[in-house]
Amino acid sequence: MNCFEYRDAIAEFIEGTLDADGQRALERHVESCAACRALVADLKSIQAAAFTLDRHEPPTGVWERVRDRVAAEPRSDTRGRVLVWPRSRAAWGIWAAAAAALLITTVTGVYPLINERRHRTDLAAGSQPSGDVASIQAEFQAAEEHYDRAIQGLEQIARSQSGDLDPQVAAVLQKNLQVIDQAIGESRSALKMQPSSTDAQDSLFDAMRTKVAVLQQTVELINEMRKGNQAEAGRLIKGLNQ
Amino acid sequence: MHRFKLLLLIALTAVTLTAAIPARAASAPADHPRGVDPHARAAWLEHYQDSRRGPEQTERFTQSYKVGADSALDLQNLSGNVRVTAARGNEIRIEATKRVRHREADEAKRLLGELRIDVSQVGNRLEVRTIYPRMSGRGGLSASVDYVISVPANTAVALKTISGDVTVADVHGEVRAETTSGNVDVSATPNLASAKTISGNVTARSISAPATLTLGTVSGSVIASALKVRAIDAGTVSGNVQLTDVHVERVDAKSVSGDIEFDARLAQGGRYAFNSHSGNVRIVLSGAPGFELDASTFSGSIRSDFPVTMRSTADSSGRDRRGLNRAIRGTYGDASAILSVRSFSGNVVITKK
Repeated sequence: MNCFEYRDAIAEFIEGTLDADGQRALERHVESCAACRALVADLKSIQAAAFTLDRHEPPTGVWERVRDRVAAEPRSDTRGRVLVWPRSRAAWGIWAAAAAALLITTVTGVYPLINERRHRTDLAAGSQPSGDVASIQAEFQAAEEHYDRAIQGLEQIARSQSGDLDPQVAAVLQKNLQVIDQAIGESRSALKMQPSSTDAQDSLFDAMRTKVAVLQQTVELINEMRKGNQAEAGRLIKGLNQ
Repeated sequence: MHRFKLLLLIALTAVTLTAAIPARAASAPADHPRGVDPHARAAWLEHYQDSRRGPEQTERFTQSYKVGADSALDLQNLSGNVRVTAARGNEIRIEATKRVRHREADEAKRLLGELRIDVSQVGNRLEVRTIYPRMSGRGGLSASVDYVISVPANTAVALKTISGDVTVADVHGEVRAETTSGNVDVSATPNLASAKTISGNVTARSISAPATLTLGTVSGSVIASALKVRAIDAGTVSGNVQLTDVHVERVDAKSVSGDIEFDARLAQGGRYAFNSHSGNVRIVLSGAPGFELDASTFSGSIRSDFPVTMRSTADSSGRDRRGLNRAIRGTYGDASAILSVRSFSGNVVITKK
């Protein structure tokens, strides 16, 4: 079998529905195939992210309002709709994970494009202000807002679930997030003083990207601690460090 | 006269303090109070732990497993150090020490029995998992397992632990070494795929392979030396990045508050990016081929000992109102390598060895 033929097996493996023989065959293949190994790791991380986000339900009030509206609506066939309102917590989790993934992908994709455009504009127009420059500034602001939203979302997850982390590790992460926050603050202050400074802009986005990465690591770590025996182990580690 | 005495007293106090503080700093590390024998202190701490959590009880586990040429080891541990080295032969040998503490000796013994090392072998692949005992809710338990493992040199090794150091040496198969709280030390591992920790240092030494090394930590330093690899991705938040004696075609080194040091020879056609927010960046080049330089800082300064021909752009002077260099963009020699160096508030130095 080639890599393409293993795709279904990988999907079943991630979903936990692959039989023992298939699993053994897949494991043998994955051991020797870096591409499939990367795919398995990627799917596992997405599944892990969905698992974490699964636990975030909208506030009770939202559910009540939705329920009331659904009850008030006349019954109709859902066939032909593109999206159906998720009914289960798991479905909410998948949508939330997809939204977070889209947000992070957008954020990590937006800045390089703007940066490339900025350099092209610099080369074409020298340092003269132009409509293009103004539009790039607007794109910068939009990118910054995207980063802010991604950071807020991840921070919310990390804060609400940080009880699953070893306190010492949580403290280390917190301390380093403060270091990054300081870098973000310094870059923003510099941008206020010199709005067109590319050094300040680059520095701000570097710091924000780093913060997204550290928060992602934090969420991944929380997931790790929650898996099976690890959850118990997290409490054990706490005892160990006391 | 009274005023004179007061001034003399202040002066004498200042002199005494100035002399005393460095002497203390030199004689006693910050974490050991002056005059305290660190060994005695450690012994006392051990005794204190014993009285609070009970004496340590240990049990050894030794087992060997026959494997073929394309063997793989996948180990997940929670607490304890892991050391993997290569050895001749066709077996994976595990020597582990289980450690448990509990205030009640009988309970400690029971927990030691429940602290299991689960090894499953499928073909040439060995999976090792540490199974921790369920806690009774009475607290006071501490448990860890230290592993010392030898594998055939070509074994693919994946190690993951939460609390503890991870060391891998002389393994030629693919190596992934991760911990959360502890140091990662890899040496002579030509197929190192990743070495990561969150709280601790990552050290990579004596690696020669056409590979990309990913070395990352959050709170700690990345230290790499004697490497001959294709690419290095090195990142930390609050530690330093130190790359010395490396032959590499692509480098991406980042820190938020730490310093970055690169002491090596550039490769023709190589791409090198160094970026720290508030740390200094020092590039020491030996026998460098030409390079295209893009160096900038917002509030630090830049110095290049290489005669760089500046680009003819409007800001080519790169100097601010105080005459400090804030940017150098230009070429040196044949410009065959690309060097991008940035620090927001630190200083940048590019110098010759």
